[in-house]
Amino acid sequence: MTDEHATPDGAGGGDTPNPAVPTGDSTETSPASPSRIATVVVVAVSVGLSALLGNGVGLALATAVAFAASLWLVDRERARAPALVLAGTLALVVGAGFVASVGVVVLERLASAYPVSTLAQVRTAGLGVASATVVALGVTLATVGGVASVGGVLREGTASAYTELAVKTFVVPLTLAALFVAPTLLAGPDGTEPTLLELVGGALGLPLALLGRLALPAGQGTHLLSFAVLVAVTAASLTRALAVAPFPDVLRDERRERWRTRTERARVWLRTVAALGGVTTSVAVAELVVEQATLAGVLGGLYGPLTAVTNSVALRLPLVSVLLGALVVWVVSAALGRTVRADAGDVAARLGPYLGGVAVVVVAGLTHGVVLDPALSTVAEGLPGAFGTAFERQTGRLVEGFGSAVVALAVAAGLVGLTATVALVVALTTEVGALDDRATGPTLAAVGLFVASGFAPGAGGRPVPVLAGLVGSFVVWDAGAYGLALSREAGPGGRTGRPELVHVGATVGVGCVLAGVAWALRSVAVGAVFGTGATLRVAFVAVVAGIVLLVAALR
Amino acid sequence: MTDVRTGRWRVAAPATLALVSLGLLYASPLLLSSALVPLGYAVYGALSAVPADANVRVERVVSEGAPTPGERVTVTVTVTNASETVLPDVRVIDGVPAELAVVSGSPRRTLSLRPGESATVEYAVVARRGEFPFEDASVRLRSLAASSIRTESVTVQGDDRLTCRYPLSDAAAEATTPRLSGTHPTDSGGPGTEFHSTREYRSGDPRSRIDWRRLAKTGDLATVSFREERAVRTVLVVDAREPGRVAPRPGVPTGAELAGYAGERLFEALTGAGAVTSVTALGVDGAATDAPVRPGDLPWADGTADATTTLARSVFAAVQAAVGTQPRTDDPLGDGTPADEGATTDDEPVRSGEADAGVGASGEDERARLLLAQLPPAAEVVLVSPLLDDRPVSLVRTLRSQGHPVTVVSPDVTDTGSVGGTVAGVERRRRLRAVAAAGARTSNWTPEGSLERALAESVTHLVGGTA
Repeated sequence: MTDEHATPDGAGGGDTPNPAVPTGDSTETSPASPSRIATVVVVAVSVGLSALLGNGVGLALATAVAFAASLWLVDRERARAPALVLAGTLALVVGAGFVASVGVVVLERLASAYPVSTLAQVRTAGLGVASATVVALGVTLATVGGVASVGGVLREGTASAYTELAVKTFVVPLTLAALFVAPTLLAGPDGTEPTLLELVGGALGLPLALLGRLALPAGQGTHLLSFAVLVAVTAASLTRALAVAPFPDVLRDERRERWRTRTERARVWLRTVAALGGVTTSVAVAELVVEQATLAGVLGGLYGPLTAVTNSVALRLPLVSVLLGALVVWVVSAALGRTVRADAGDVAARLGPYLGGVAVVVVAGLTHGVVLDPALSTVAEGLPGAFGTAFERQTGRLVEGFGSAVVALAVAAGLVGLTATVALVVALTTEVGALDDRATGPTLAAVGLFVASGFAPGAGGRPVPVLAGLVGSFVVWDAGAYGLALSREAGPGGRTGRPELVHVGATVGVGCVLAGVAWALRSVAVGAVFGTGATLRVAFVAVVAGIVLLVAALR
Repeated sequence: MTDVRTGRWRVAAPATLALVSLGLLYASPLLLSSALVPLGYAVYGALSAVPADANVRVERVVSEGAPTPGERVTVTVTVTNASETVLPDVRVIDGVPAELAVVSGSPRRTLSLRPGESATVEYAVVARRGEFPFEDASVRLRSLAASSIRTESVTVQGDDRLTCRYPLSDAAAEATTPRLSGTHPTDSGGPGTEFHSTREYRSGDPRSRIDWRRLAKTGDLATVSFREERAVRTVLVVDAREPGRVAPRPGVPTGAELAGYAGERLFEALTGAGAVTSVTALGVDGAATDAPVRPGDLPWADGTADATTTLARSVFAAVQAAVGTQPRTDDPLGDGTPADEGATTDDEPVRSGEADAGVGASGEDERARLLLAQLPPAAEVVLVSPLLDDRPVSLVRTLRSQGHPVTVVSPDVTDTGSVGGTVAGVERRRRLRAVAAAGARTSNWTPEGSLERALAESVTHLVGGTA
């Protein structure tokens, strides 16, 4: 949806800039905050009609509050580090809220729609479930948009910032979950639930196992692939270590220049070696699919020396040692350099999202025992027939194989990832103009209400909520856009109550009249028999009149 | 005047099509008939328009015709619907001069007016030196659906400018101060009218002052001395140094600017009362003035010179140039550049003007010493300073130690409402107490208060009244 275009001078309407706008007006503040009355209308109508259209609006409201609070936190300048930590932690709540508010409705709908008695009912039931899912999603979006209209916290900038934060937060539980899962995947599940000590040991041992395989290859024949990977990674790491190491800072002028000249030359060589290693790696992939005997036949006299070189521990161990040293120098130097260049507040703010990820891990670790089993049981019970049994069996295997803590951690990572995805979608749609950046919250609420109203008949929605939702979607959008334009032109503290009430009142009045006419038409249509000559004539006249009105209105 | 249709309800078109599509998908009469809702909104937006005869009348009243710098001036704008139709959305922006800061209220207002109905917009600006004409008001009318917008510039009836003149700098160049003889009584005997004492006759004493009665009674020759009446020698020192070039908030005169204004008012009062008044300024480039430059780069408008007023005007102009505030370029009262608004933070006053040309503590001491060397004997020094650093306090102590009577007039620019401003205010009050303890008369001038009262407190004793 689009709104009237505000000009840089704060005036709407897309006309020429106003030269008479005083620059000394001290009331100019954030341009993205709708007026108070507009905010109240948007929140009340969107939340109220969401409750009318869908079940479980309480969950949607909690999600909306958490989402709006997160956006407000990422937009804060003061106490930025703790704000980002809290916002990162709330990403878990937001993701869980989205899943719960939509999932509860879907489960209820599935339970009531299935099993079906005839095959023909499958399609109808499926359409009903899909419609109910879209309605639940629309209701959630409407609630989120409405609540995020308070203070104009939902904007392209805040959505982008929140996306970035959620992605950084997402990295921590995802990495930990991968580290915990990988050893079990590599070794294969042994049928018993691993203890925490085993999980940590496996995670810590994973890099060592990897390095061990690089240093001491197992099996006969050539190991060109692992050798080429080792050479390429070592050369690349050493190049980066030489680039960021602070050695020149502790040397005197002449030595410093000499060091720089030599390291620059060495880096050129190392880059060449790394590139050759990369090329060799891509060629050596063939080693995975070609039999050693075939390889020996193709290489002839070269096979023996190649096998000796690629299996040589005397070559591999120094390379692994250099790789470890280069990695240590690289990581420490880069961390020290960033720390020195940035002040403490910036460092804390940079770490905030990751600390939020740590908080998510802690929450998942502390609550997995009381949350995971009931949640899985609820889902299994909600799923109809064999679906529930299959779900219970599969999740039971996962919990037994990886442990409930790891599964909870993976679920938490997924929920944070879902939050990041939602924020990314909002940011992208705002950036491409699908959502109005100047009134993103009201527009999102209006779109949510419209979508929920449009799909509600397919989910068995009654006419009154549908018509109210449609009128409400226009009222929400109109009030938000109008309030924002007012706020820009009159200042957010300006007395704008009377014009706003007049305008919104007119929009509501027009909507009620239109809804009444639509209700009357629907009553006529329900009783009519389609396909008869009379109804076709009426339908034809109505369609022609609608097209004429639409074209006339759009001109 | 411009009329624009925004097309904001065009959003209803895809909504209509979406509902028709969903209606066909679900074979739902409800959804098909619901398409009437967005369609109706599209028609509503298309039909809604600003009435052709819509007319708005705007009047402006400025509360204070000739304010002092820093004084708050209330501007009241009355908007009247002069047409016969209801105007549901009238947005008015008064044409506030860009140089004036709005400190309370807002020149913007959104109104809904019935035919003949009026509403007021009230705001306050801070007066600055110069003449500032208001611009026309911008009026924007919207239709009920906000789909039609008319923007026009409306000529405002009533007050159309705010004028804030400086007494000396803004006076005509040919105006001169009337030279009157001094009437300040002293404790020394000499020619005059009021009896002071008698002494032994000395050769050369005028015959009119011989005490003839005493000669007749005793035969001794004695000479009558009268209370000597001298012209007051006053030296006006304006502190325009860099520490004083701060304002409590943007758009408000700085401390140095107010010191310059108060100095001009003092000079006018003193010369009007017949006091011989010299003028100098600290923190300005002496070479940039027409006045003679004394050692220490002090511009010096000597009160005994023939064109004291012209020279003093030059010194005050240099002060205004140094503190960064000049009248508008189109201002007939001056020839400076537009005022520098500067930027501000929550905690610090706004700084403006050029930096003091590298004058350190030792340079200030040297200037104080050189200033002392310029002062006529027993001259009364009137120091006008915002007292935002300790240098003026040191200067006052030095002057008092040399026996010069000192009066300190201090404009207060520490009322920022912030923690920093509160601390600066505490330090300034300490300095006021310190100069008072050193024996100087003090007068605290808050820009919101009356300058006349502050001047009366400070210089009445110099112009013949009682302090």
